[in-house]
Amino acid sequence: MRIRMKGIYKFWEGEFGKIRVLENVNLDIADKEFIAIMGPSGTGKSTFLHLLGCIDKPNFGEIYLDNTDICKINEGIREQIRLEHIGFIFQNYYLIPTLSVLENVMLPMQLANSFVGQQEEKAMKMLELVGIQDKWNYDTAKLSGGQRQRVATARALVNEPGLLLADEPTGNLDAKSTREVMDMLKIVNRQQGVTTVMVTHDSKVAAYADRIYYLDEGRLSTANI
Amino acid sequence: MIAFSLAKKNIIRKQERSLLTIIGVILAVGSFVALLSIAEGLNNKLTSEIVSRNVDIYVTASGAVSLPTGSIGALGSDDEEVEIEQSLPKDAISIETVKNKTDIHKLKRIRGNFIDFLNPDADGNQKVPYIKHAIGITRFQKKIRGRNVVFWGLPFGTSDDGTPLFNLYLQGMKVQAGVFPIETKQYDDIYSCLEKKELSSLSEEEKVFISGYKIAEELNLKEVLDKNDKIEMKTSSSDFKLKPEAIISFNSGFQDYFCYMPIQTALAINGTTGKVKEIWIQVENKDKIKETKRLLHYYFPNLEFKTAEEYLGTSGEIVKYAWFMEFAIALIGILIATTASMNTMLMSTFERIREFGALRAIGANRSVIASMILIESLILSIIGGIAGIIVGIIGSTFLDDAVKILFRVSFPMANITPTLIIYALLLSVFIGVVGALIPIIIVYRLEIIRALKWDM
Ligand SMILES: Nc1ncnc2c1ncn2[C@@H]1O[C@H](COP(=O)(O)OP(=O)(O)OP(=O)(O)O)[C@@H](O)[C@H]1O
Ligand SMILES: [Mg+2]
Repeated sequence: MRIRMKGIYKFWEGEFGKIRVLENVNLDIADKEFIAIMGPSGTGKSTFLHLLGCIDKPNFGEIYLDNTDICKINEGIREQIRLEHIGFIFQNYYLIPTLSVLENVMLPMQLANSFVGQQEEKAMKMLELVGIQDKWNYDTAKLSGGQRQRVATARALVNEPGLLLADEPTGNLDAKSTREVMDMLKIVNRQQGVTTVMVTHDSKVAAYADRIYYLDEGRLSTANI
Repeated sequence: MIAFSLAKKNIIRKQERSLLTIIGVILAVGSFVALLSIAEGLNNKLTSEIVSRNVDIYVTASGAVSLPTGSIGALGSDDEEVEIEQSLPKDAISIETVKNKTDIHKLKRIRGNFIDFLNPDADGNQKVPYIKHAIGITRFQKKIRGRNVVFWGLPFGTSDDGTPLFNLYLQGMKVQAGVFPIETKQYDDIYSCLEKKELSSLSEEEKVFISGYKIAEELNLKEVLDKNDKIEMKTSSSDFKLKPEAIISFNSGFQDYFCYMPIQTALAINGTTGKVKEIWIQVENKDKIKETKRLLHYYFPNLEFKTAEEYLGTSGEIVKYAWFMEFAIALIGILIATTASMNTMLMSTFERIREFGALRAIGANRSVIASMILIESLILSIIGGIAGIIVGIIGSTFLDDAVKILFRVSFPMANITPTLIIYALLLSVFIGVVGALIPIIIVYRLEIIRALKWDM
């Protein structure tokens, strides 16, 4: 999936007036590209991903996913894009606590009515991919942070999206798990051609990406590492 | 369906809260069923009794409001009789005291200007055509062995064509001659016995009655009957000893809960000699009911004449009133349950706003979440509703006992009808829908990004 962002502004209404989180952000990401975004805490990295993920809207600017301006379409279509074309690994995972590991991974397929008849199989395959298949019937509350992150990854990828948005996907992992997850994301990106935008603090993790951007004080720049 | 399985799982996860909601609904539906079972039962029994009685025209004092089953609703007063009697215009409906005690033929009926007027004379001539029979009946309620018992005073004689007058009543009760199924005596025996007693019923010694099967059980009358004994009845003026002659069973309506005696005995005991509560008329030809009624009204403008339907309608009014009263009381429970259910659904919504946000963020649309909330609320309220119906059925028997004591009614009234159960189920669905309403509105208005960052 190709992404183009043009003149994106995002404000929040704070106690002392407007907080400018994103200021004139412009970005072009080619299909199948792997991008990393780095930056200090609170600079708007998550906000940036939310805009791309059709979860939030900018105050100004245009965002094209392939040729669709997602700021101009109605909520129903945005829902459908979220469900079918975007996988989101949230910073806080946002797993559904009433559902087991397997059910969490099956959920996007059930909502989209995709892979009917083989949803369980497909979900198990995804769990294998992220290396947590032995915990398939666990309560998500009983998982460690790293394990949750893997489940969230499996859930994000299960509908085979064209765009994967990952907010600190290795934030809670040790060095070994980090390598495993990053290898996996790289493989998914290469083999399935999923355009990937990843936010991270870790320059070692960022090094997996094709390009690295730096977000600070609302402005996006090419990183010079 | 994903909404359903999510709803089910959430109910299981929050067991305590689910239970609390269910209990709220149980209370509402239970009190609804228990309370309204009384009105339902009253309605059903009245209808079945009045329909089966086979009376075409009822004559009552103008403006007299009474249920055909006696003194229901005479709240706590011992003198309800008096009030009803007072509303009877004495000139119109009074029956002259028996004049000639030796005239057996005429004594078989209650003699009096009005009833004589209605019934054909010895030559078969009638002032008002089409009337087959006219009998006077009375009712009163007294305490026997600590229980309120309704007594019916009925004529036990035969009419001129030989039809037993009491049969007019008995026919309605679906009891045929010879079928007094319970205890000792044959129909003819009792009948002739009562007929004889009717003549001498004014003597203190010989007050007899027959008892409905259910009330006989409550009063333990079988023992009295077997010992050929008597039971005591206290009234405000004097005490009487009454001798049970037989126990009868009708297997329908209220009738098994009443006692029956010759009308003279009843009038004497009650100190209302010369006054009846109602006169029942059977018309020869059903087509002539309206005409007969019009004619009677012309002759007696200050009496009320009602066809069976109208009579049932008057009682129906009282039942309707009872229904609304009971519904009003039940409404308190319903309001509490609805509020409780709204509260739990609201709490559970606020607790799960991040979850809703997450669901929306991965592409679930609002209606999936709304259905999830609605289904959850409905599952709880319907479980509560079904349990509430069971609780209500059990509760209705207790309530029935309470009503019997409070309103001094001698028979059980509670009746759980299919209509009532359907209403109860509708009520629980209503509670479920209302409980889900505000959470659904919240979900529809919520922005995903705010939901995801929601702090409890
Ligand atoms: N809903 C909101 N209302 C007001 N301000 C917000 C809201 N969401 C985010 N912000 C503000 O926007 C800024 C950017 O937040 P964001 O979560 O995008 O940062 P981040 O770069 O992801 O930080 P971190 O690395 O800690 O995750 C912060 O200053 C935050 O306080
Ligand atoms: Mg962030």
